[in-house]
Amino acid sequence: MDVITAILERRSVRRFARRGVEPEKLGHLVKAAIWAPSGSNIQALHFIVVTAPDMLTALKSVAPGLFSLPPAVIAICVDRQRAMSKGGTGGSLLGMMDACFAAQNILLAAQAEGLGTCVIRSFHQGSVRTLLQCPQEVVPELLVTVGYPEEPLPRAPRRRPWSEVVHLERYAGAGASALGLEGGGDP
Amino acid sequence: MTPGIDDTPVDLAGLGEGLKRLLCYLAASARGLLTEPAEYGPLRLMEAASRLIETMQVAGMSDPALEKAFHHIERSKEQLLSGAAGFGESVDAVLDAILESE
Ligand SMILES: Cc1cc2nc3c(=O)[nH]c(=O)nc-3n(C[C@H](O)[C@H](O)[C@H](O)COP(=O)(O)O)c2cc1C
Repeated sequence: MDVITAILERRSVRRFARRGVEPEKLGHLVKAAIWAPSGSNIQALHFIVVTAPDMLTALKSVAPGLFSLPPAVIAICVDRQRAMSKGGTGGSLLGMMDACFAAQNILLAAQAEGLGTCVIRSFHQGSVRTLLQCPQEVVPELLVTVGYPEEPLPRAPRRRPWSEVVHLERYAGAGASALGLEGGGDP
Repeated sequence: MTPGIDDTPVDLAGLGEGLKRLLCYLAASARGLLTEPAEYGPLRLMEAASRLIETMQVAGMSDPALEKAFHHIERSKEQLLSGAAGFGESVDAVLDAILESE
């Protein structure tokens, strides 16, 4: 699958088939995450792969943004101490940004493997940290659910019209049509 | 085990476990909603309703009215998440499903 197809066809999947995800496929996703860019190359991320049903159930109970029980969750955590020591006072923000880039790599790699994913930010950080037994300086920033999607696949939530959000040279410059973009909204 | 709906045995330990998880969900939701968009409030309430029915199902306490309500709850969540219209009507249908069965 080429990258642009993966980008356009990816949807946030919130219903998964019961089938588990092969460990080597989860390994591919984590490898993709590790090779994401890193601000100042701080390399402050940790990835905790959760597949045990009792752990997933416990995570779900403190994650209001998690709507069904997925076969796997990858928790993307930032070592804030390392982020600050390598990235200066802005290190925490860099760590957070790194987590987002890593998450996007996971989503696209999963799409290429035929897997569905959803990024989850609505969870109680302290409780997830406790459940995952992270040390104090390691903070879970994003959870990514992973599994084989249940049919039917979700419809794409609309994007704003391109003419509203794409600008050429300056904010007031209408950019969409000059860049060959017509319409918008649907992929 | 205690007799439940239609004398199906109720799994009290399972029920207690499920309710404890629901309690965590409610507290985590309250915490999150302090900073989340206002429309997440109705969504979290419907999700709590759906988790409560799941807990009752696992404990052997479900009935056809709850099954019907569950279906409308799931639809309401999808409507809110995808930006589709009809959330309010689906919530009304949840209440109808339960009240009509009484
Ligand atoms: C930072 C971030 C946090 C998100 N948190 C949640 C969440 O807690 N629960 C959820 O179901 N979806 C969550 N999402 C998914 C968005 O709702 C979804 O990406 C958006 O509706 C667009 O849909 P699409 O991903 O299918 O294109 C999150 C997405 C991002 C980027």
